[in-house]
Amino acid sequence: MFRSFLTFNFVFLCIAFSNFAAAEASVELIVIDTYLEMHSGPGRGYPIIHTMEQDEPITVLRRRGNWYQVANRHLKKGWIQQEKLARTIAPSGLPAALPDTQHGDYLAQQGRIGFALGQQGDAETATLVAGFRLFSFVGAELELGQIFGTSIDGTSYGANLLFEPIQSWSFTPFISTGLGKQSWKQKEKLNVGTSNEFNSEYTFIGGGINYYIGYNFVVRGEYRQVSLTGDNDSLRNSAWRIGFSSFF
Amino acid sequence: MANWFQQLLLIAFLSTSLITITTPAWAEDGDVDINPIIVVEPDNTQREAYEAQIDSEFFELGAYAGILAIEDFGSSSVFGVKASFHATEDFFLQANYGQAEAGLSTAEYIYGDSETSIITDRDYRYYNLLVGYNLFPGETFVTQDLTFNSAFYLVAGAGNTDFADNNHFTITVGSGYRIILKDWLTINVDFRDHSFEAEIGPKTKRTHNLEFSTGLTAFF
Repeated sequence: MFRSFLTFNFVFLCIAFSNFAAAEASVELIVIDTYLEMHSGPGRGYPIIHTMEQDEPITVLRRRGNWYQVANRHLKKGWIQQEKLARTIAPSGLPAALPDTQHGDYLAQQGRIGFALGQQGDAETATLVAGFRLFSFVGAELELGQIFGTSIDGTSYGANLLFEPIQSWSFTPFISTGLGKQSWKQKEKLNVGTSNEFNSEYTFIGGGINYYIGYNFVVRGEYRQVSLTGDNDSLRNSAWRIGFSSFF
Repeated sequence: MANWFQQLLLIAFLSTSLITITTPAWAEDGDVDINPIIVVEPDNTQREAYEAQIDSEFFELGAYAGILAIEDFGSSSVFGVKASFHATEDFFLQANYGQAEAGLSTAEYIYGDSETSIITDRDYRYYNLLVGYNLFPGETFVTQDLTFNSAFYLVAGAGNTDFADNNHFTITVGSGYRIILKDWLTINVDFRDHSFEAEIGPKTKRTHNLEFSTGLTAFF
């Protein structure tokens, strides 16, 4: 009797543990539409390779962009678009709570990474940008860049604030402002004696347009009026840039 | 006698139960219950739990090797690392860093490099920041039973080339082909043009440096 009790306990523990492990490792969902189609790949054009029926349980394996790789109980794998996968329920009977990154969700506090290419005065610029949305209408960004002049080269780093009051359009205008530092170095061939390195601080105000493509891809056009303050002089420059970034 | 009585009882019982079953609950006229439709929204805590459980793969990281034709300085082997961020099914952002060593120019080759050398630093290092577009996503059929997902993509962007002791703003355009070997592993073949204004003595000229490379990347 005692032995059978132990065995029962062991089996129960095993089941409990395997359930726990399964819950930790994957998300199980149940199809509620009459059918759900699996594609061979995560993207447009990939053909439908399998159709799952109503009430069939599926396991979510991985997410790539807007697509989810799932497996049915026969371990047949395929990819399903987020909108389609949203038409499933959890074993609890509640609708599937998929993590979504949609156009409207950029209002939420989300990070974004990207880069920008452009010109400042006569010099070209290439900049890495990482940002974070503080409020629905204000974003903060840090940037690290390189400046390519004809006789001088530079690196720059700075912090920006972005005000984007309208949130529902694909094309949204914004106003930007920021400050930072630029370190310049004269190209070696033109180095004539004395100091060939100098620093300047800058502030700028600017504006532009963000164009939101798909769910989380942004193309940005921006114009800036840059005020540079060096050791013994100051300068005003205009700069423009085109940027590409994605939030996640 | 008893049998007959039992039959009667049975009929009586069945008929009453039949009436009970067939009489619907809404038999009384005009007394209809309308249940309001409740929309059940997925809750946020569950969403966060899902987010932790589903393996989201946006990044692709890898290395490549190939041939870089450095204009005027022959062709060299090039090695690099690349990182991509897949923003949507169509677009991705990619950063590359590569290194090569420039060979000899024709003049240096013929007359000896100490006489005619126009550069001292032969290291060619570059980085670039690119936008990619998966132009033709599809499948590659190797045999009847072996099929891989693949994509032909275009890239464009800019970056820096550090060559001959100078930084050069470099525009990079190219195309590539990605075969997804496993769910997490891909092989890439890339063809790219790195173009910049090079200083040749007092003059500058736009050079095109063509790169052909192949590499492995992993999604994570």
